[in-house]
Amino acid sequence: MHERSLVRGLLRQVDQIAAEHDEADVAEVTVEVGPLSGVEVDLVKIAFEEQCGVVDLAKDPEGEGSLARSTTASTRLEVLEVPLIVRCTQCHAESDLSDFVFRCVSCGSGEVQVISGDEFRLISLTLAEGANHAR
Amino acid sequence: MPAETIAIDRDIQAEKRAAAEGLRRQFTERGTFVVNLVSSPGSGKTSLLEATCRRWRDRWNVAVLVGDLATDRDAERLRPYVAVEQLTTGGACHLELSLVEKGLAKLPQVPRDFLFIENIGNLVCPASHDLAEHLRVVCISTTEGDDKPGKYPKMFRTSEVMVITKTDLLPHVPFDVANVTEDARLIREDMQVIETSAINDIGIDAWCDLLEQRRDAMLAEASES
Repeated sequence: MHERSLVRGLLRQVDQIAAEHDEADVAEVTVEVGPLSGVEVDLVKIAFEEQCGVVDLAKDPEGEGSLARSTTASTRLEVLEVPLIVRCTQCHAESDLSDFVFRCVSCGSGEVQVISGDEFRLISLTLAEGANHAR
Repeated sequence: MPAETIAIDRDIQAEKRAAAEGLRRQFTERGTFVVNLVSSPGSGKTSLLEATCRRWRDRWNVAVLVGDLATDRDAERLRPYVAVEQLTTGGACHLELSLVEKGLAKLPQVPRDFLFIENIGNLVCPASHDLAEHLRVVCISTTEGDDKPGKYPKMFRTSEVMVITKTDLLPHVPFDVANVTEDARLIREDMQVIETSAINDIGIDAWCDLLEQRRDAMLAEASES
């Protein structure tokens, strides 16, 4: 399970962004997860709950010496699940793959490129009303 | 202050990917071809490396970084042939770039021609971590199910070469080379497939040839740009 370390990286980025916005507290974090991201949605949620406002990034081997301070136990995680979409390099059609058979739905070619569904992305942050952690 | 939503839309691993890209460029400039070997535990990655390193002992300068949760048993097996450093993760299920960088710093010399990174035995998490390799190779042994590629699509999608190991056991196991090849090619149509038996030194020629060709291609591309 590598979701814990990925969430640590996510929280570090959330902290940096919050710091650029008057050290605001973060009410909600929205991420996007694709079927080929290598990330399990349930495990991301568990890791997020575990680490929000708790994890000490200073003890993280890759940490930059700051505490995850912009999130609190009440920070929500919104996970958007996106489909796996490939584009055919032969006929340029886009296929929405429901399984992991990498074939163009239109012409059957296997020469397809993934255009969506292989990433774990930070989409947006919602800052808490009136709250900040500059203390 | 009213609630405010800030649009970001960024790959959470973007920094790590960029760091891996930077390290890969350094390897390319030095002429070091880097292979990330992934598989289930016990599929024979270390045996394949032993056979490879034995063969190349007087031909290429080879270094190996070998990952495990604990012990340096794999490093001890390879030490007679090459410069090797064991990376112990203490429980983590995959190697990350930072561990590879630490291992590189501990190697007695800078790798010159080839660097092998033997990943943790796991077909899930290592698929998501770029270790600055030029080539990702997935090993699958004949004692595993030949339907494995479809069950671990990301690993097989991100690997360019599939090495079938322990082919000496084929007469004794219900493993069909044609089935596994077909299954892998549904995920990656251009998957290169090599059949090997490390203990009988079968297929090691083809495997070594493939690596030499890939390194030559990397050098040719680097000299063009």
